[in-house]
Amino acid sequence: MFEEKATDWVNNYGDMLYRYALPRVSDSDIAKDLVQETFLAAWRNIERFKGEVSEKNWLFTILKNKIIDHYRKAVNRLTDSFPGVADEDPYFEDSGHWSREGTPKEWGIDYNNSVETKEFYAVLEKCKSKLKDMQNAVFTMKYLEGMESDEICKELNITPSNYWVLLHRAKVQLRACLEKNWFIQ
Amino acid sequence: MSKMLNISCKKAAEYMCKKEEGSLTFWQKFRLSYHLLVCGVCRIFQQQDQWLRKNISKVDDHCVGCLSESEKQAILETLNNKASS
Repeated sequence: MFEEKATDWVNNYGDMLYRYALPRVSDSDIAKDLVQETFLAAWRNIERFKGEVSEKNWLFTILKNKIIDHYRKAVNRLTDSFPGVADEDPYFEDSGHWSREGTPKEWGIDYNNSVETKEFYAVLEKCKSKLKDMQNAVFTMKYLEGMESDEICKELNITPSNYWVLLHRAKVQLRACLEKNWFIQ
Repeated sequence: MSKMLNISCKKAAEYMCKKEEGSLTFWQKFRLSYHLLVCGVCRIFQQQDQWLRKNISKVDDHCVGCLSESEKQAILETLNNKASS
């Protein structure tokens, strides 16, 4: 019975769940593991699935929790050194001015329009994967999951001031990476 | 006067971040506006930052990752092993 259900899930929802997890954890092996764990958790709790939401939404809810768990574990591994807070910042001088590397340049686009090519989003994902774990976690929870800052601080057990530093550094780094690898090559 | 009003570009980037969530005090908002008035580079940053914020969620529509048949098989095997253990 399990085999049948699992085959059904993997074939129907495997790719969908994987595509959701991938840009959020920026690592294909981790994304695969999370999808696998999602199915396993779903199976173990199948009694509790009452059909109030669709099977698909139910699986997505489980996956979202797994992703947040993954961030939490990543944060716990980093308790002794808090990256992105005390270390140096290549995008700004000590004085707080933009460094030469960090100075934003005009991209020459109309900022009202979006870029709709797959290639751009591949570069964006690549740039995102280069963020430090903590920065990526904060950035993803905020902009892909749409969570509020106090919720994110609570989930990751970080202070608001750490949160702001991590988030704005993630944005500065991502911007610079996109500029270098897409807009101004 | 301008020395008292102005903040660094680094601070401005942080304030822009906080502003999104309405976490700036009146005085901080004022100083950020002043900084953006006098700093062209930060105005570019602000535009690009807003653009990025608007477009980042589209990453979901463009993610092309797929599990190969062999990856699906591997997942199924692990699931079968774990579910029966």
